[in-house]
Amino acid sequence: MTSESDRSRRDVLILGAATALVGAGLAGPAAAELKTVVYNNSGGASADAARAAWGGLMRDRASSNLLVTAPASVARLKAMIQARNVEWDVAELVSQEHKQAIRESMLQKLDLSVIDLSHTPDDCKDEYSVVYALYSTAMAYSSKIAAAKRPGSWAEFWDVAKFPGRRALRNHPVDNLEFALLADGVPKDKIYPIDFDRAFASLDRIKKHIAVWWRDGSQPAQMLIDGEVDFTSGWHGRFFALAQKGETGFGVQWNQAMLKRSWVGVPQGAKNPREAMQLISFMIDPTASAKYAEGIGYICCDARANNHLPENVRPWVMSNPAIAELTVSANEQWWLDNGELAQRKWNDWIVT
Amino acid sequence: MVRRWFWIPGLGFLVLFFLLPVGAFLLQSVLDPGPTFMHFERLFEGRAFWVSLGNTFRISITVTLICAVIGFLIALRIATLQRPYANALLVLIVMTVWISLLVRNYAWMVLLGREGIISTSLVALGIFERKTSLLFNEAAVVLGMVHVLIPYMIIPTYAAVQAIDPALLRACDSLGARPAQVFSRVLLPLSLPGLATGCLLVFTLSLGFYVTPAILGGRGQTTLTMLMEIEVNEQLNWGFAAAHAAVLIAITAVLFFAYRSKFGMDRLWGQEL
Amino acid sequence: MNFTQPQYRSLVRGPFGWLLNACLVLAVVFLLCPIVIVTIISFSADAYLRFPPSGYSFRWYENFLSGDPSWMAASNKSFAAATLTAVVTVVLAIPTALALVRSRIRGKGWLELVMLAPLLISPMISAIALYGWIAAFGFVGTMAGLVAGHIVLALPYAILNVAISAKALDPRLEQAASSLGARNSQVFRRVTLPLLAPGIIAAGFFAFLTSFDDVIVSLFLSGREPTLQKRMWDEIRLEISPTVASASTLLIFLTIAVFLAIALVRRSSEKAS
Repeated sequence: MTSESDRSRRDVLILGAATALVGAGLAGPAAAELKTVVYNNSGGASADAARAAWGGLMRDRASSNLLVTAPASVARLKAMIQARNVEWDVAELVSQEHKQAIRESMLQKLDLSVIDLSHTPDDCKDEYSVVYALYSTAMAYSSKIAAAKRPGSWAEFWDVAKFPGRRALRNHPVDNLEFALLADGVPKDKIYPIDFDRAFASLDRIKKHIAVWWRDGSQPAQMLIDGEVDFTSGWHGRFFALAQKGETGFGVQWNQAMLKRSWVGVPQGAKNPREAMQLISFMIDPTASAKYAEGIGYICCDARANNHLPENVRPWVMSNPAIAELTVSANEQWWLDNGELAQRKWNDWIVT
Repeated sequence: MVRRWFWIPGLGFLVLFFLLPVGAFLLQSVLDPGPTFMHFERLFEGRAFWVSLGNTFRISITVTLICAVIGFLIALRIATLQRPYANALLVLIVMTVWISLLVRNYAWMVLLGREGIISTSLVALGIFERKTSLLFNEAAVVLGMVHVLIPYMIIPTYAAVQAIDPALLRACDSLGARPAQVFSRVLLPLSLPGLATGCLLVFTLSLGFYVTPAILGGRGQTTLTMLMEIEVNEQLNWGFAAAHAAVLIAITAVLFFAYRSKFGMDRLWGQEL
Repeated sequence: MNFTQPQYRSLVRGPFGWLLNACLVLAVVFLLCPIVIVTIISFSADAYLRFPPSGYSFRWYENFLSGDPSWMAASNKSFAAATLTAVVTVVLAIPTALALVRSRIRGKGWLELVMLAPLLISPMISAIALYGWIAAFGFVGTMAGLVAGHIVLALPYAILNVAISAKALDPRLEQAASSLGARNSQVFRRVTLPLLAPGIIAAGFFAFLTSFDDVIVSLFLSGREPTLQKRMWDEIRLEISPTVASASTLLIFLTIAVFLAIALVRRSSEKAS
């Protein structure tokens, strides 16, 4: 049997441990006085660029900490709204996702007293959302491959005999179905509506030559630098970010790149709608948008933003006319109507 | 001193936050939106389900077999050590169980990545032509899972070996049995129940694994739990996710009750309660 | 020096012994190597993960501690959740463990099964089910919901830990106290609880770690501001950032510290009795 002193020593031990734990747990949150505004985007380099371009503005002008989460997903947004647990104040909605979000009443109307849309072209805005980033999914090649041996179109990317090398594509139907049709000789204005059978038949031909089906946006550039693959598709901002850091191991082929638009909106049920509107106003502000472009190469539709770009960023933005004329515009409406079906067909195709 | 109400807090909590939620979730597989078998029909007709069920089983079986063979040998060696050494090793092994699973999987991402020690050494040795990522394939998943799960094989097997009567082994010795005979005639048969416990634990835990296949695996390692997560978080198709869950629980239950009818519950708890 | 118990010495001689020794050494290396590498790489000066690092620095610790504020916010949230989980789990586990060890009611096997079930069923299923359940009551994203999920995962193990202590507790000590005129509450507070203390403390620490290390429940229930594991998970899924290595190293040493604490408590209680 234990003595009285042993017993009290144990009491002290338990009490001590419990207080230490509770103390440590409570000490943390008290420090936070600023509001936390959650901006959900695609993550990685674009999260870094967002913090750099808008974090300071949010702290100074909206008394908020900018918390950037990832990845962007309209499906997750919908699930959050249904669960009445909206974690995001500003949501990035890539391409057709903004149309889906509006159709399913997921977004609040933009507060025009906070957000100035007067310089944004009509096709880059609606009542609920606005384009904050023009970007592209482009082909890129390793610099080690001789210039004559670099594919100049998707048809050449598909031509493994003439353009030998290890290839990578994204594990996703978006863009790949278009690339498959372009490779099969469909003219760029005849891609939509996408013929699934023709696209997957074309993909069948390239499937066994794809060494890597990439998943996250940082992979393509890294794989080219490391020599893991010779040709790949990728989001141009990721190539830009590494090129800015002095990487020279890869180059980008703008021909037949898919031109895409990324939108932002404020979800229904967002905890801090006011600060969210402020954030969006910064996202399409010419100076702040140019600052964002310095980090990731994506820019808003307001033409004035181009005036604030440093010389070395200009050859990389989609508002540059020399690039724009080579690209193929993604059809957001088609993907809105067929995206789910395409994803299901892709899932079945990829596992077999 | 024990009162009847002593059952209430713990059980009540589990009923409220585990049994009822899981029950309600499973019911959605036949009641979402109305009474229907549509989710199960879609499940059994779609290719994705069968492929991922195959992936889940293949990975789980591989992991269990590797853990069983290596884990048994390790447990055997530990059990034959003098107590202080054995205890020190066991503490070490149990401690690794409590290091965050995500951290241990991340460690493998570091090791197996393009710039990881394995890839760079293979290039240095001239075996690889260029630095290559060894991630996102089945071997990486199996390695990561064995790393996480092998303690669940070692501990019960160790308990079984350690409980073998020393007199038996002395008898073997004095009768001049060779090590192979001692192993196959005495040690292996007597540790089978422990091995069975380890296999049940490792296999059922493998079936429900999510983190490791999701971060170390590639397209060929899509498991049932990954499909479920997507159905809930992206497709918002709770009924369909519940159908996946029902299949997984049914498999686990069959294994568990088969085990229980043969070996009882005590070993699973680690001892008789 | 001989590490092996006498009755096994003939078994571990020869090639079979070599095989066993090799397995053991490899297992220890296999279990520890990734952890050691993560620790080393967390001090890397490189912008991305490379082993061996080209230089050493504290930059990733700086990034964790002060560079990106979301890391510390996540750590604080995890700490708070883990502390709450530990306290509530222990309170629930004590009476349940006593009931499990001492009461002799019919259907006890089924009650045991309920207690064990959260360990056998995939945490993905428990997490999704609880997410749906809590969403129906509008509690998603709250600390209460997150902690409830963590308690479900921690409770079986906590009950087991307390139950082991309870089994070793001699009921005659309590009877003696009663016969000397102590009231039931006094007996419980002065005799039962102190004797269960080692099990209770271990249960509390393990519950703390279970919560702190959980990914799956956090994936669904952590709400706007992520827990540390969710934050790491997001980071790992997007790219393999070195900040995660510094976070991982801190987690590894937290785990080791908890283990040392438990070992100290156990040792002092063994000495006392």
